Amino acid sequence: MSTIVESSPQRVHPADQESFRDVLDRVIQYCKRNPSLVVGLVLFTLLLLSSVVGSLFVDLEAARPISVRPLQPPSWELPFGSDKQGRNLFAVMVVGTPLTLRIGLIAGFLGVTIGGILAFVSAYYGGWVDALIRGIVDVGLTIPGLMVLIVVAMMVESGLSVEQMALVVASLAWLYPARTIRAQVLTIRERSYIQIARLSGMPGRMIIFKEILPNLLPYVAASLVTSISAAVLASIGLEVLGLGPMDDPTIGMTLFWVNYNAAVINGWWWWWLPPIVVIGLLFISLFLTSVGLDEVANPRIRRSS
Amino acid sequence: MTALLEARSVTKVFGGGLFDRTKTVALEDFSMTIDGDSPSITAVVGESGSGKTTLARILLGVTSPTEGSVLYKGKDLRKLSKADSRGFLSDVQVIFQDPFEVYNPFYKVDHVLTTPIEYMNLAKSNAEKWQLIEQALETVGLRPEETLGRYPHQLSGGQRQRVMVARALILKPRMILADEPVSMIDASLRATVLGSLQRIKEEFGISIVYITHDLTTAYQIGDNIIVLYRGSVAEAGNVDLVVQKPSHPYTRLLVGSIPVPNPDHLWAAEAPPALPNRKGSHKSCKFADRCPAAMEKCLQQTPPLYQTDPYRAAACFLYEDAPILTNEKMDNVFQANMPVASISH
Amino acid sequence: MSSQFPENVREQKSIEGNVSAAAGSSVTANGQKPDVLRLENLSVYYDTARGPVHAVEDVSFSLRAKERFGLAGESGSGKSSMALTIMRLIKPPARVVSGSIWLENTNLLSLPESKIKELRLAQIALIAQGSMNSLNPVMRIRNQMALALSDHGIKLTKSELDEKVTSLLAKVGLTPQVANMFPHELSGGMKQRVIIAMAISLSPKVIIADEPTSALDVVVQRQVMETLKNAQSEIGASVVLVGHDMGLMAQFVQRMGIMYAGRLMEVSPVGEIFKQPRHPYTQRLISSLPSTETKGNFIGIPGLPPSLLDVPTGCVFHPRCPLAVDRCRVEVPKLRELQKDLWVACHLAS
Repeated sequence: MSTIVESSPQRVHPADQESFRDVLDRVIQYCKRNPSLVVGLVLFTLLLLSSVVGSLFVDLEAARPISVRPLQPPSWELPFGSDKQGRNLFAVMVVGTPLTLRIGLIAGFLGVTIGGILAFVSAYYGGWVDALIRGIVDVGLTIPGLMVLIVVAMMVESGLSVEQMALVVASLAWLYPARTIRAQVLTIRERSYIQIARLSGMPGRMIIFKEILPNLLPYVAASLVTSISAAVLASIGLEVLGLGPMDDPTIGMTLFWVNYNAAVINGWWWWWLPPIVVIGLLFISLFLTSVGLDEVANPRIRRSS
Repeated sequence: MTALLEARSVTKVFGGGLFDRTKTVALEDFSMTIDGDSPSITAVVGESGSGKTTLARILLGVTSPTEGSVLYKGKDLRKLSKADSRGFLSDVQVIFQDPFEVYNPFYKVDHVLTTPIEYMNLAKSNAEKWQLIEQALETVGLRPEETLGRYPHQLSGGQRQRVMVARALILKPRMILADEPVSMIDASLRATVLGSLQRIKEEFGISIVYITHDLTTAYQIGDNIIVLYRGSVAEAGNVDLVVQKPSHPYTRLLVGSIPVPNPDHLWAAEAPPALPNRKGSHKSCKFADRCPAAMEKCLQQTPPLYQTDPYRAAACFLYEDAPILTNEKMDNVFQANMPVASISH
Repeated sequence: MSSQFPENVREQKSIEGNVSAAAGSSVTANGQKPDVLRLENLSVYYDTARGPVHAVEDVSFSLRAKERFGLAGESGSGKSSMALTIMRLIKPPARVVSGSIWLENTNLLSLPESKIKELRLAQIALIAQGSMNSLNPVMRIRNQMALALSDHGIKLTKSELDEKVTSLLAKVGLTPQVANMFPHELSGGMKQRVIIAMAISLSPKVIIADEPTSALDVVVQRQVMETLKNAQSEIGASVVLVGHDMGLMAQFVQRMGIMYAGRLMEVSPVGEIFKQPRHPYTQRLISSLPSTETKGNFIGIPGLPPSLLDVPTGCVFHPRCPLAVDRCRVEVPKLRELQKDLWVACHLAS
């Protein structure tokens, strides 16, 4: 049986040949109808690009303390000025943005992957497995996440690295995807085409991969984006409280130093403005992307509005 | 000879659990045999709440009966070995009501046709696979080049449903259970689906259980008919007899309520009786509270099936002079492809 | 508001001048009842990303007083869009591209929304598809009926209201006790009869019934249709029955229009439609109907209805029509009166 299955039987029909153009056409058409997805993704890419491009123009070592003269307002040499410890704030932004994103991406991916797998197992197989997973998720979601994260972060006395930070955030990030994806799998599982697949002799795990998963991809992508932004938010929250990686100039740590040195009251606006703008842009781009993906996953939202 | 599929005194009760005091008897003491050797189309007709959907689910093994059993080649559906359940999959296939929901929107229609071939090992090569598919499509009157490579939404309801008939055909089943296959299809395309069902019975000797609420299409393609009312058989027998000369008061009411597409043949002037809400004992005939012919006896006892004609039985005390037919023997009034001449008795 | 006098209607009509004749329009004075509702060249499009969907295209017909008129078509024929447009309930992305809808001498399409709200139910009522499920589940039937009345400025004392509700329920064959019940205590057929009672509560001139029995069993369907028929004749309203079930049409209506791909193909008395259909589409539709009167009839209509995004040139039915000639491929056939009361949109019909 496997030989036939794996040789991906594709006979060339007239419809197949034009399908690539078709798909491209449809993608373009679709983008016109779904501007939030496009704007969100473009904004996100720009944010990443600007830190890549920025790294060509600035010495990244200058993101460390005592690299430049402290507390300089923006100038030609120091476009974003410098902070009290003598960091070049432009370099801090160029280094910090990807770092913060890295935490978000690692935690988001881990959360959705773990949550997604648990959701599929739980929804498809049901029974006691489902009861157990659902129970853990339900209980887990009632506990305030930031509190748990604070406790975990405080237990690591030597302070967290960026990766450890991501793992700490991921430890709770799977709960919400697990619940929402499970609900989606449950509704898809009841569709007649699942029954038809079963009546065609398709085994359970193949049904998950071939029948359920493809239809969930836009949804999983949407919840991935949601998880990433939740993870970014959680990590910044921890860092502002001083529980982040002290040695790394992430966006959250910058805000911690802003707070620590009372930069707002002292009128050192160049210190706090860039991180706020970067966070704002980041969340707007993630929000728009997830709204756009939601439309892909659930066209009914579009029709009704 | 063991029958292909046999329902033996099947009863299904919903509810009645610890916290649920409302018990619903969806199907009561129902027996039916599909022998698989003499092909026929058996129409199961009933309104909502008649138990026809429950019957379909029980025959497919999706739901287990509360009492009684369903046997596939003499073996209980609930205890099939792995090999037997694969055999069941290829022998008993199904066509669902909604011709859209059965297609995974992610794939082209080809997907539903290739899947059974791949997973049931029906073809040795790619070429053979496509040959099988094209044959099946042509049998149901579809041109492969106009059907394959398309997405479900590019086909009409009638075409989608015929692709499903083709899918079932590929598995070479001995029986197809068609659950309201045309109720969501436009009138002008219905005929094509019904025609393809009729054709596969005649050409491939596949028995069909046609479940529907629509007496007209049941009459059109059925050989035999079972009229269900609230989980029990009201009348069963040859379809011409039952539809043209209904004997059970409920069948009469049903037949009389069909909106006939003929403005000269209007509904009888008198409206069917409003529900008089006559409550009998729990043993009463289930139709007694709506029956214009109800007698005292109908409120006290459940009528058994009486064999009113050689090819018909009705569960009604109006016919108590006729011999009683036990529920297990209901099939005795069925005959495959009976010549029309033998109807008059 | 609008005049009650048929003389005025006719005058008004002559003022409008030479609009294209609406099928069945009763311009004559030979004792025919006057029109209560007249659609003239109505077109409704849905705007989609892939272009406008021509849901209703150049439809004209008129509804006579106290008449039961059927509007039949298969899915996607535009019949429901038409029903919604008559009620002015059509919402974007749908838009009325052209045409007018005259309720006596008022053009519904040019009225402000506030006026339309007054007209709905009072002059023109809708029994929508599945409307029995639109009853408020936590409100007694009486209160729901009272709400409909008070929305239209009818203030009644409690005893007057009780009397009104009782008489309305009686008109649809329900006992007065039903007024005290909640929707979940009623069967589907009873709920649909409550809907009919509400629809006739202000004695509208026109009732639009859009697939009023689509979710009901045949026995109940028959009861509901008979209830509607009785209520209609009692209050002297006209009914437009919108649906796909030709059997129901044959049982219920007097005259009917056949829609296909957004256009009216034929408007004739029901007897003619079933016994001597003039349009090739109607002919094939009628002969594809299964019936308990003849057996072994599996003639469908070959081909598919056209996509309403890309409607064929000429007659919309020509790709499926075995009789089509060159003219059918280029020229759109107008609905014309073949004989008295027989309107057909086909070049070949004679």
